[in-house]
Amino acid sequence: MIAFSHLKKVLIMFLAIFIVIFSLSAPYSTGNIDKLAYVIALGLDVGDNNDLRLSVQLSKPENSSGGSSGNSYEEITNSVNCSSIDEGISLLNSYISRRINLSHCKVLVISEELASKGISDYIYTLFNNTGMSAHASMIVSKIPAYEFLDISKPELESLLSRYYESSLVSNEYTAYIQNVSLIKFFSDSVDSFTQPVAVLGSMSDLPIQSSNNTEKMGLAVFRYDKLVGELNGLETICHMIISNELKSCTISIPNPLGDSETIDLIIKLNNNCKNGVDIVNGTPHISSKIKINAKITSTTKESTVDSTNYYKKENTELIESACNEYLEKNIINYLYKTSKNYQSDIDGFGKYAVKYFYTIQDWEEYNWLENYHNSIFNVDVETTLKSGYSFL
Amino acid sequence: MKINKLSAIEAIALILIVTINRLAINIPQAILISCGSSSILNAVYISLITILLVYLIVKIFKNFPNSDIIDVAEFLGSKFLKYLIGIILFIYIVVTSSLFLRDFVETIHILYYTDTPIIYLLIFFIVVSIIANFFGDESIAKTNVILCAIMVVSLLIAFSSVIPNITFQRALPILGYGTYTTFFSGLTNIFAFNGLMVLFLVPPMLNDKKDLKKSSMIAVFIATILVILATASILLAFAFSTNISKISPLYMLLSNNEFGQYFQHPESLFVFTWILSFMSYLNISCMLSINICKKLARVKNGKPFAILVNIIILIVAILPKNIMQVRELGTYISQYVGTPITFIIFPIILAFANLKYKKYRTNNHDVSKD
Repeated sequence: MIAFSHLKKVLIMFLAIFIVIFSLSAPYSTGNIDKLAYVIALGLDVGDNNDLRLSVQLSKPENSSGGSSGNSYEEITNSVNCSSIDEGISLLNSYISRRINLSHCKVLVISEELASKGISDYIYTLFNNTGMSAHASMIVSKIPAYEFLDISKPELESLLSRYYESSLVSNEYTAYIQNVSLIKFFSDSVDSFTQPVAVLGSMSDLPIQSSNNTEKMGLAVFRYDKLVGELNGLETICHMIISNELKSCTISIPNPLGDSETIDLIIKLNNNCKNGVDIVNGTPHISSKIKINAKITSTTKESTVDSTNYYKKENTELIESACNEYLEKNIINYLYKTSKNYQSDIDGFGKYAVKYFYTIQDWEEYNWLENYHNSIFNVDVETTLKSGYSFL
Repeated sequence: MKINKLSAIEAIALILIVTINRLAINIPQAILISCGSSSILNAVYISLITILLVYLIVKIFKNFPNSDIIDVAEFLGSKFLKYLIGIILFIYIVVTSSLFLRDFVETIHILYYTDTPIIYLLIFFIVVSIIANFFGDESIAKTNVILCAIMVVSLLIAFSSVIPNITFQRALPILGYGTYTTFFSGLTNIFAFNGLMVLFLVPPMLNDKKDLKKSSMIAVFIATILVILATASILLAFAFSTNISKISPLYMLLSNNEFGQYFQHPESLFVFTWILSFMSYLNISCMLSINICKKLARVKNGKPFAILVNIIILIVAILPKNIMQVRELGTYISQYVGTPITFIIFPIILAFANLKYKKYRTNNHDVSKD
């Protein structure tokens, strides 16, 4: 009797496992991997009739029977005029006969024209989509989004997705861009402390390019969901310093020793810069204390001579103070540009001001962004020259 | 189906599973939307009050070591009060489990099984509950320990994943929408700990009757830490947490945080642990309902009730039109039924029963035989 009871339990368990395994597998579902089209990059643009132009860049896997599987991919860019993102995806679904999947989307490219009109509705829609990758990087393109996607061709990568990943992490050693994800952009666009930025992309006009390709340089500055301005490479470095996002970068400062026009330094933050906000008669007084470690990368014949050696104590001090002066001047200019011209607190100084308010009502009544426009900045940079490279 | 073998750790898991399951769905969100930046302060405040209340409940339960709230009600107000309390408890457990089942199923339907009919997913959980309850209370309690531990670890990993994105200033302005909202109207957020109602049914199940205090205090302590951590992690990570109601704030937290380059979509794994944990929650809810039925019907074998209770849960679960109605009903029942029952009515019954007990004690009356 006991054995029968035990057998019954085992049978019930097997039956349960059987039901679960076979019922939850969906061999004919449209959600199967071979029935999906994975979007690598999504583009949003103003359409022909002032509606939306949705572009998708898809990765088409090559038939693996021909050789080594998965090493070579062909990219396809499709575009459709539509009234909304979801309608556009539906139209593209019917065109390509596969279900479009956004879970591996690496970049979201928005044209400058559309961004200037405000992108709140699109960002909310994408964020509402449970299939959309929240880590997709935000790019504002100075050329139409479709064109941007169409000319984005990996030269050193075999995979399109890897190309986007590697091109956007260059901020770790150049600081000419900041890799901003969709979730960060969305969070900042609804925040009362800080305002969003996105990578600024365009067709490359750098002399190093042998053919048409895209470049990412600088940042697009938003006020809530509207594009209000741009930052160039140097201003982006200043932004990265102030917002404690700088990993390392190279800057050229005027040479105080005169043996060359400029000296190139690789700079890093010594520690997080200390930002503070005082509110005096309703006006924010913002201070930043920045500590920088620098290494000299450029050198000249004269710099190895004893009297003009970069690493002599008095010369080191001269270089340090030149670096301080250079950074202070550029950071102050950058801060006044974002506060006066763009009225956008992209460095999040609001979070240092909120401590003076006890309730959300008080904070909203003060209206930080309106007052940020009148901010007075004080920047103090302290550079420590650590070393050079081969020469000392 | 007599259960009298719960160890202290099984009792802790039993008390805990009911609270922590709701963390994945809507508890932190209700706190965040109502209190804004003072959500952490509110969570700490309601946690302290809960710890105090649980301590008092355990203290006044001391004179009734072998009794649950139904026995105490019988001792206080004879059969009428026993049946009244028993029926209220049964209805409350069945209705809240049903609504939570529908809520959970709707959530996983939206996130993963978009093409699968809701009824199919509901039946999937119901079948598990029926099978588990046929296996017996001991199996459910022992399995629950493992699943509860997995759930706690899963929650802690989820909370730790937001550390790189934390902005502490999101907890400012410190008083959020004001002192009234944080400390007075915010007191209704104590519904986050409604699951502690299980405390009133646990005493007769304990192997060692002295474990009640230890198990209850440890369980409530862990539950409060998890509620505070859940609230803090969601508040401090993203600016929109206090403005936008998400289908599952914890899922949002996981899907929006990276766990390194090689482990980019961990949320599916977490949802899997939540499904297992939810199954355990449903098994326990059904087990407690069966025990109430047994007590009210005065029968020894409760297994036949397993199918009946689960069918009732299924029927109630399919009644709401949509997830909005489920959430609305769930919040209403939690705040206006669950909280008063757990933290006001049952403690009052216990307090009066204690007064009656003191009178009886002078006549050497043994309460446990009542």
